[in-house]
Amino acid sequence: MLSASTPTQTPPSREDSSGSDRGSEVSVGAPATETDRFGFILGNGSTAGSEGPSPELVRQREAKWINIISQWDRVLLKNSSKVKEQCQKGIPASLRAKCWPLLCGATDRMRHNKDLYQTLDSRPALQSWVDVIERDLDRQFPFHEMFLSRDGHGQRGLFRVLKAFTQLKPEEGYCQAQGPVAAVLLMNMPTEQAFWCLVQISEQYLPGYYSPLLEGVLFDAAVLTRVLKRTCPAAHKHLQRHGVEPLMFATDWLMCLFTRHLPFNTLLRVWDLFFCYGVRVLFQVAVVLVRRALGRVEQREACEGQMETLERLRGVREQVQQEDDNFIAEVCSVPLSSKDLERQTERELEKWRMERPASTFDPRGRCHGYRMAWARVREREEERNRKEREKGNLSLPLIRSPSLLSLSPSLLRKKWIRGSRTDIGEWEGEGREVRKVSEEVWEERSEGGNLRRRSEMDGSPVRAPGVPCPATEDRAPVETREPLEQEDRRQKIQLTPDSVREPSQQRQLTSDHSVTSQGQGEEQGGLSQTPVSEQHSDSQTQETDHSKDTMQTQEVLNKQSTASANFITVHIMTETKGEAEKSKETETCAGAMTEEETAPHTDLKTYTEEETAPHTDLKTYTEEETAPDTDLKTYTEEETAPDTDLKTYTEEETAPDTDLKTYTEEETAPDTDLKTSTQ
Amino acid sequence: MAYAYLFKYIIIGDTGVGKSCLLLQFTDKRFQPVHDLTIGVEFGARMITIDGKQIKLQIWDTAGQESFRSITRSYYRGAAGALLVYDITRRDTFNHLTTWLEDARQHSNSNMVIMLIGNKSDLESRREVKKEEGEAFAREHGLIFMETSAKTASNVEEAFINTAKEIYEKIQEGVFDINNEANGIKIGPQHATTNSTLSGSQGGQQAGGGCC
Repeated sequence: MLSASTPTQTPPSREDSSGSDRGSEVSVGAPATETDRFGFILGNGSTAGSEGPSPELVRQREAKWINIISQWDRVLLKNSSKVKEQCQKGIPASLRAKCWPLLCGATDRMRHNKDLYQTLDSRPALQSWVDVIERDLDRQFPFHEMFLSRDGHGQRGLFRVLKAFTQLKPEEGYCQAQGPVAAVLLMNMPTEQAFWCLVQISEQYLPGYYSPLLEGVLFDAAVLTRVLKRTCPAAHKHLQRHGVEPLMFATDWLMCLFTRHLPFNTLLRVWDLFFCYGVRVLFQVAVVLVRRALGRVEQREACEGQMETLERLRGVREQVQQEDDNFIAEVCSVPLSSKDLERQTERELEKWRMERPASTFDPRGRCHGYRMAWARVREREEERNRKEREKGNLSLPLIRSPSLLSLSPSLLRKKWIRGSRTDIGEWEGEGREVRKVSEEVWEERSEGGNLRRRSEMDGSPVRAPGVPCPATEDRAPVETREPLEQEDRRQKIQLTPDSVREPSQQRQLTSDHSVTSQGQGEEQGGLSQTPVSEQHSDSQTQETDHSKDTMQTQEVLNKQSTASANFITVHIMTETKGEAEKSKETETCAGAMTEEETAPHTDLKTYTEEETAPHTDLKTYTEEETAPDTDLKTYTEEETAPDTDLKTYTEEETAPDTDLKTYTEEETAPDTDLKTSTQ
Repeated sequence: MAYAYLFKYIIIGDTGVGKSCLLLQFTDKRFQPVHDLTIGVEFGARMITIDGKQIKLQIWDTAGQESFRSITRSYYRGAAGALLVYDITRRDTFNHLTTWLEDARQHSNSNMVIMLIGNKSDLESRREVKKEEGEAFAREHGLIFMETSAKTASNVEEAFINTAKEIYEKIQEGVFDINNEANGIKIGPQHATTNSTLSGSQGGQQAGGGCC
């Protein structure tokens, strides 16, 4: 009576998802057989066909990345397109462990919560979560060598990371979709880094994706419909006609960040982009996949019903061959700027609130990539510093003394580098850390809640609620000022090609004689800042073509007031306002970073030793270690002549991700920065 | 492939009760102890024959974790049959049946046929839920009941086919409006068209970038 299913009727996605279905003959738990370069057992979901870039190219890129890493804050202050370019080209496998956490802000989070992961790790978690997590452990990449055995470091690491997350965010707990994400992170980095990356993704990049109501996913599925309508109207129409909704085919695309739907090498490239640009990349990839499945007329005609369409979409991996570069180029060419995305988000949010009046979900505060992540990092640092000062640690030599303000930038930089060394020592000094460890847990826990609340309540910069800092009063008028005024100011700041930021601040500061010390600077600068800044901006009225774009972007940013977008504005504004302190902190930090980060290899080495990294790439890297090292040295030498470099800063100040052009065409002018600094 | 009817099924139940394994056993006739976790929804399809008529079963296999219910709800729409699965070795999965049932009733059409399945019947030694308890629950809520084992394939075919029979009977009785696809039933094409083959046939094609 029964007719067995034909092979074509088996669910394609199952066959494709890491090949879990293909290998019933593989005895799991047995010593690993041959694997591909990513650690997938050959014949069981191995997808790494392409060889990847040539070793020479890899080495070149490694050198570039090490350069970027070593001067992270400076690269970001310069607002160059270097990072984006390199993310688009693909982060070398050996450096993902370093770059992904850095891009998403996990590195910083980890640094400031030194022992938190270990503390959580050593404590027992809620048994109900432990049970669920344990049950899922062998269902994540079952054909990857790391995750083969129950007691292997893959499954144990996965357990530790996911368990720690439920402890950090008890209100969110564990969502099954976090498993594959954590697993891919663990394939690329040690557990602690993976943990903080997962935290950053869950909390900053994709808020609401893994929370109990999955509001983020529901919301983004709706946004995806809008995006498809605009970018792929014919396919969208087809989906509508057959009642196919994004929730039916894109839930795990989005929630698992495509971990199970792309060849692994392509996936890693997509993640490079994701850490760089945030959620936008997920939409762009989804568009490409829908296009590849249903883009052509004959493809759509072949799918005459809902089920056929869904099956085609689920089996889309077959449409993505080993062609990383093409795929990534296609993803980047999907016309969805961050502005577009904000607009769609706004519209969807209106609808969302009508339909769900009780929901407090607001995705506008989410972090759209490394730049925003960095801005938040800075902001946290500021908060921390402020708190520190309030505790009465005013004597800390947080920043350089005002006497330095008259020095030339190159001299200054030398001083920062020297000075920051002591700062760091004192900041992260043992005594303070010990005192703080127990509090950290609490601080971290409350943070998520605060973040959400903050973004709901005010569109203004995210600041620590309830921190009665002396500067708050002073800043309040700045933040609430009319957007136009802000733009005006910002615009003027940006468009002073000859006035390098730091020198201009110095001028400003020296003219404001009241600023004699950091503490005073904060109080008095606040009182006198408005006139000073106006004076300042009036004296600089040159405009370039950039201004319009920037203005528009700012307008959108202001209107939509994503918390940190505003923060950036305000941050930049206040820098020119005689609030010497802030900018000084920036600089101190930049210096500190350079110092601290110049030795990334040691980290990597420990990684290779401790974690038995699965990737051969890493090994090669360690062998080649000497090469990038020399590179770094040359860099530090070059650093002493940053004047030219600084100039580029103001010129390049155009708003980052706003238009597609920046996104795709940046490629053309790589390395110019590097060259300038070398000269 | 030509079919007289297409029935849409949805498989629901707590995480780890064996929903995906049941589906795989039914569609592929094999047991895969190690498989990827279901996030969102997975699909399966198989032809069966009832009363001499070819019937295509289109099966939606859902994620079991509680938080996914907000998403799973959108999959109920247009389901003619539901397999509500619990694990006989885990009492809690049986205890959650009521909420699953509430969800199913609330978000699907009232005629949806629900089959209660106590899975993992091969693990008799670890049994926590007696067969009688399952039967009683089914009787109380008007469900069909079966104990299955996705591992040994015991009762798996029957579970899917009995559900289909029930639906088919309802169609014969005129309970289902088969012209309304929202009921999860679609009348098949009267003739086989070449276009109706499934996606697999286009497998290796390389799609160009041009679209829409």
